[in-house]
Amino acid sequence: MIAARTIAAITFLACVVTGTLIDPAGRTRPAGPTVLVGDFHVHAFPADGMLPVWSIQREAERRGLDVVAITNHNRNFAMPLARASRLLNDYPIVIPSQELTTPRFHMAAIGVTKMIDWRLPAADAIDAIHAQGGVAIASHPVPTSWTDDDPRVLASLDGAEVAHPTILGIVKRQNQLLAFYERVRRVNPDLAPIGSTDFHGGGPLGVCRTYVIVDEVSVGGVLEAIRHGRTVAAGPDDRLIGDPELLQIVQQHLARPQGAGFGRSAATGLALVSLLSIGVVVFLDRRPSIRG
Amino acid sequence: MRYITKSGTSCVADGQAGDNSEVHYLARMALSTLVLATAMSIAATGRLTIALLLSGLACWWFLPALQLVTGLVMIRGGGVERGSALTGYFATHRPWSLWLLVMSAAVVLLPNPGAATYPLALTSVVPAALTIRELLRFSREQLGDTRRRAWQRVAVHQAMTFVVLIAYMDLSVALWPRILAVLGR
Repeated sequence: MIAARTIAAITFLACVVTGTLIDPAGRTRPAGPTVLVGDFHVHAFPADGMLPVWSIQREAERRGLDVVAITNHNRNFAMPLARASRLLNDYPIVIPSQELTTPRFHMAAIGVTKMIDWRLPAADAIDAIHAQGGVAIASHPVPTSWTDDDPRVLASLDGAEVAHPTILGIVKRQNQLLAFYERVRRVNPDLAPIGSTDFHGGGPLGVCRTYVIVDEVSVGGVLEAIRHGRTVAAGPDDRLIGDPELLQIVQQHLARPQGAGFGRSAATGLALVSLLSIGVVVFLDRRPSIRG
Repeated sequence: MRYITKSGTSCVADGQAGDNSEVHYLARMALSTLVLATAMSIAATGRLTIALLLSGLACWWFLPALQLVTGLVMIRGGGVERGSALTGYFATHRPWSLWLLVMSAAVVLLPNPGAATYPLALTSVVPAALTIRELLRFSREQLGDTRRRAWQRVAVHQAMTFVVLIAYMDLSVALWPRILAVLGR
């Protein structure tokens, strides 16, 4: 039994070392004007996200993302922890944000550093987000998480999630997101279509994403582009949603080689062997037994 | 390592005779942390690197630490040396550890893990039930409890665990607004 545990432990270590050696290199920061790839709905540790912000930033590089927004629910422990760790790099861009979680709506407040009070009505919350220089995006606005139809709210939203993993295989959800987007666009033509993963772990980051046509590669440049509706929502797969002229720009950008991959790779195989080997160690770790 | 339970039974932890019991429970805590770090890293990224593992260890150590606190309360009055009792106590984490590893593999292997979130979450009743069984066995066999006392001990432990879980959920998912949303429907 001890031999089996030792072999499993050595296998685990070998997988971790090999996994590190085949980890893809980082990406270089592009210069503006350009098309950036973003995921504006990402949950981080410590909260309901599995990864801390610095690991999310590294994962964003692997998935071909230029920008992520850290949107924990009404609390902001993750960004101060990340700053204190000094493990954050300059790129990909990380935007401090909040998923404003209320009984009537969920809203991504992108670019805010002070948490918005969840007891505020939606219109006041959007004003508070704008006062901090942020943008307000309706998060997965299906009837279970968006019940506010105040026209003033719809007119002052900056964006709405129209691509979200919740729609995978659920046509009804997909139609609900599209219906909300179309309804808001009628009163708010500059509304930015947003694709987000709502990443907690347990599924790939950036599988739904937003192409952002920016003048400048910075937090300000990204927020400005969303404010003016210069985005195209994407995912899952190759589905794109946005204005025809912006779609054309994004399709030209996509014609160039892209770094992101969502399929299985050698790293996946190593990860599975790691799970198996540590599982063997745990399984063989017997509890103390009674001996009379 | 040999010790006498309250019921007078002589207990030996497998392969640990003469060893330091403090080291053994710390080793089991470390294994629990390693399992958490591995499972979280792989579920979130589909890979495992040294950086991900170290980062995971730095983030998730607090869960075994909280488990240590609930364990210290649980073994109180057990009449067994603390290190030995904690070593046995941490062994009861095995169902949850294995479940975490299986879930992590499922997330990597399923084509659309997001769609399977609720079915996967429902399977947590299995490790939850097995843990209660393991804790009862631990109380009776290692702490020498009567059946009634073992149930009392496990009930207190589970209550503490749920209080901690709910407090963490409130901090992390904004539980109160969600409760209000459900009540308002």
